[in-house]
Amino acid sequence: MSLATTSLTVPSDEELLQRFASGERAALEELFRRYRQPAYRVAFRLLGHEADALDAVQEGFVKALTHLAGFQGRSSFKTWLLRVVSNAALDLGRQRGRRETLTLEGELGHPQLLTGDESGFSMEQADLRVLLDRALDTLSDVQRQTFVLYADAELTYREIAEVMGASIGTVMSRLFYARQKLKAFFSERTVS
Amino acid sequence: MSSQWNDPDRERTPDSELESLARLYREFPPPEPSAAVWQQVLARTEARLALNRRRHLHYWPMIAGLIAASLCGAALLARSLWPVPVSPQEPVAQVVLPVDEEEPFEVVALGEINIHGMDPSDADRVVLGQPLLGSMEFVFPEDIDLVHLDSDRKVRRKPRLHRDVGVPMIIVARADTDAAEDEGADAEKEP
Repeated sequence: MSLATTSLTVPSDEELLQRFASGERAALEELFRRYRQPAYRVAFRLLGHEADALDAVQEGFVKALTHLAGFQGRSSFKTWLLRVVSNAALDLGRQRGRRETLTLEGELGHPQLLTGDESGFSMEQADLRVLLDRALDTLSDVQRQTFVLYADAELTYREIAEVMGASIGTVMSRLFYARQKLKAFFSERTVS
Repeated sequence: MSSQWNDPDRERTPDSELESLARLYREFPPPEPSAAVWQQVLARTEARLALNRRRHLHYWPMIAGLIAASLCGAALLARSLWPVPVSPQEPVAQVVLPVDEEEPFEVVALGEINIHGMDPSDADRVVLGQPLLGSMEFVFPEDIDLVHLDSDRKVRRKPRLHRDVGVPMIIVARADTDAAEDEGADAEKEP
């Protein structure tokens, strides 16, 4: 009962957008709170830098909400926002260049993929993040964008196709090649 | 997690490999910004949106004016460049001038006048032909002093002055018929 009541009180994206259009500040806060994390993760994966990723998130929210006429409810607000954010991130990456993420890069040199040793787990996490980010560098822009939308934003093939303005077949093809490259990267690191 | 990825017993289908990679990335997301950082981003986003709204409101009248001016200019240019279609001539309204009801005096030649009859009292007002001695001066009969009258020897006529009203001022009388009167007039004039 309480769950049903709760679900009824949660406003939909469309309601929030209408309230935002009428000037309600709380609607913007709710939309921001709801989608800031997937937007940030996509932007960070594409840019590799927190400050740049936050700039892309801000730019994405501003553009997505300013140009709501281009949205027109044909897709979900999430896919519309992620489309704008990922494009903003790619633009920003072209302007500033994709930065190396790793604060540990200088210390680690060639980070190795560590096995499941419980001791020093935080170090393993940091190393793995470095490795995951380096693996993304082996992908082309569109392959990286496609994979990040699939992995971090958890979009379906159809939603990715909407975001990127491509066919589902193209999305599957890009994911296939992305998987091949990532697999090759990790296999090489595992062997070494 | 890496051990899961390297597990030789994992599913070998492409989709499962892709899903395993995706799960790996989800489990090791980028470091999340703090709540304070998110608040700053939200505040900047709000400020940008407000600025965009103000710009939109500020520039809209200017943009509308520019569009209207462009359309007017284009219309004027197009009107001057496009050939004007030939339209049937519309009848021009005729201006009817008022006709002067008073006819001007007609100037006629002497031969164009035939007097069929007239009141004798108007006889002194009728002047026909060119004046013999330049300008004419009209006088009353009593203003005339008859000094001398000579008879025309060829036609044997002698002029006679009638002072009665209603007859022409000067008439020519036959000399034979008016001889007695002429003689009386001569005698009257001669002292």
